[in-house]
Amino acid sequence: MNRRCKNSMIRAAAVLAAVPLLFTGCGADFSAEGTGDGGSAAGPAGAAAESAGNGVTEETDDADRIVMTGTGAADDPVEWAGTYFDTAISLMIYGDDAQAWMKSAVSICRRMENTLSAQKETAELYQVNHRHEQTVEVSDDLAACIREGLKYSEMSDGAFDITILPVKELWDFESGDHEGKVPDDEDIREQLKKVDYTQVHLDGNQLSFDSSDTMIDLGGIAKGYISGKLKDYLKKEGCTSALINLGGNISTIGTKPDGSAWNVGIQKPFDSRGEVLTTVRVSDESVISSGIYERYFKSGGKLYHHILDPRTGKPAETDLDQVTVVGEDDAAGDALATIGIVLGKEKTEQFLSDHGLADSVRVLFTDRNLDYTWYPQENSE
Amino acid sequence: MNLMSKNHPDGKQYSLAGIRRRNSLLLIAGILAAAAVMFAVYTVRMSGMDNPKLEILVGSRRYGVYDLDRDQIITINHTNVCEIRDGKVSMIRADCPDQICVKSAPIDRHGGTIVCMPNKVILRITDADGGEDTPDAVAG
Repeated sequence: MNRRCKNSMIRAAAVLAAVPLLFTGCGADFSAEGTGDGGSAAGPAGAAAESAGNGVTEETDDADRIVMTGTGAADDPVEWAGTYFDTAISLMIYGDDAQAWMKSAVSICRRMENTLSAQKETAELYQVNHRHEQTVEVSDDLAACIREGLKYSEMSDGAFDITILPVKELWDFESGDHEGKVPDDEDIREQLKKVDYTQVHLDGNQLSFDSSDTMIDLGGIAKGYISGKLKDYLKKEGCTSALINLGGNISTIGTKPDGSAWNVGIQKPFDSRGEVLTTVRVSDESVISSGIYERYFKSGGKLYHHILDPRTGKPAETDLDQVTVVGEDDAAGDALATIGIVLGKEKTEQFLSDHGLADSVRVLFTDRNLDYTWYPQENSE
Repeated sequence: MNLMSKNHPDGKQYSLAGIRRRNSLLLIAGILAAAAVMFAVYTVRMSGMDNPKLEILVGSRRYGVYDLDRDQIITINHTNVCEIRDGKVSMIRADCPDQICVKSAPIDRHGGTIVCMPNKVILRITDADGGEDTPDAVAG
């Protein structure tokens, strides 16, 4: 009895000793949350800003400061978001060296903008388009991207054409309220004469033009080329988990840290951004869409979208709202998605089969009624 | 106490010991109950902390953390205005030239980030609720 009693007392003492520990635990957590919630309670602007502490890194030695968050741990990826080549970019990288990789990845984006942009006056391509000589020496990246562009221009017999720029400059699809002006047919016809990819020749890094009017725009392939470069760089560094989003072109490296495939949603055309039509699980592949809903304006009850048919100089007449390409070659995905809109469903399926691409890509066609089908069908979700 | 129990003639020492034992059991039960209550409060607070929230960063500094369940409009340093409505967060105004953040898709409890690079304003979801079917990104 005595021993039992004593045992009970010991147990009671142990529990008593534990209670203050619990209290302490609670106290610490309450205060931690209290600190974190400071802004929430205060609400309005001017709430005392405090250091976010670990995981936020600010580069101060650069005019274009990089602000990234995270450490790269499995539950705290390094993330960065910003704008290059008129495109909202967000990158998410996991791994011990993710912060260093992120800095390099962002500088690759910056370098690519200064190489591949036809709109930025200091960019190499802009200089090429405003050349004085018809033969110029170009950088490796510009040569490689033009080479890819020419490949798909040839394959598609001009349904995709990297010399579309003179016609493209007639159109303005950027207005936020979807209002715009249809260019004169005469102007389109005039500029269309300058659109012909066969006037461009690339031999190594030597780029030559048959006509001084020819101008190159890599808008239909540059994003894919750049995400491919980012993927190559990160993989070479040993990265096994990353998600690249270049203005809606999604590219993945490996899997999520838990080993599961990335789950990529496909935008529902003409719906609010982030509304998903369906999802696809990918690992090491990219998911790249082209859609007539991305940039467009309406005039006289007709919708004018930004995907121009290089053969007419006008928005492509298509039976599709969106074409989504899933595959490992990002540049191919980018070009094929555009080709898909221009050619329409039936001709695109024929095109993919004729060029033996049915093994390397999966394509989702979303038609005007938001019905969607996969090609090849056996790979359907 | 033991002396008393031992010398008691009618064998009540057992029931006396029984009372003592009951008392200590009650005491233990009471302490355990208190501990359980504390633990419950602790757990609830902890799970409360894990709820997805909107965190606003300006540069590398935390501007504030906000509940997604309460609709509100938040002015950030007179440069940006974001809105929480129906659990969705969007940047509704920014004085930057590119307006990329204003055009960005809303983010919600499933995660995401909206960035205004010119003003170094970052809206992000902490402790995002990444369900099985929640996309990691949306292509479009």
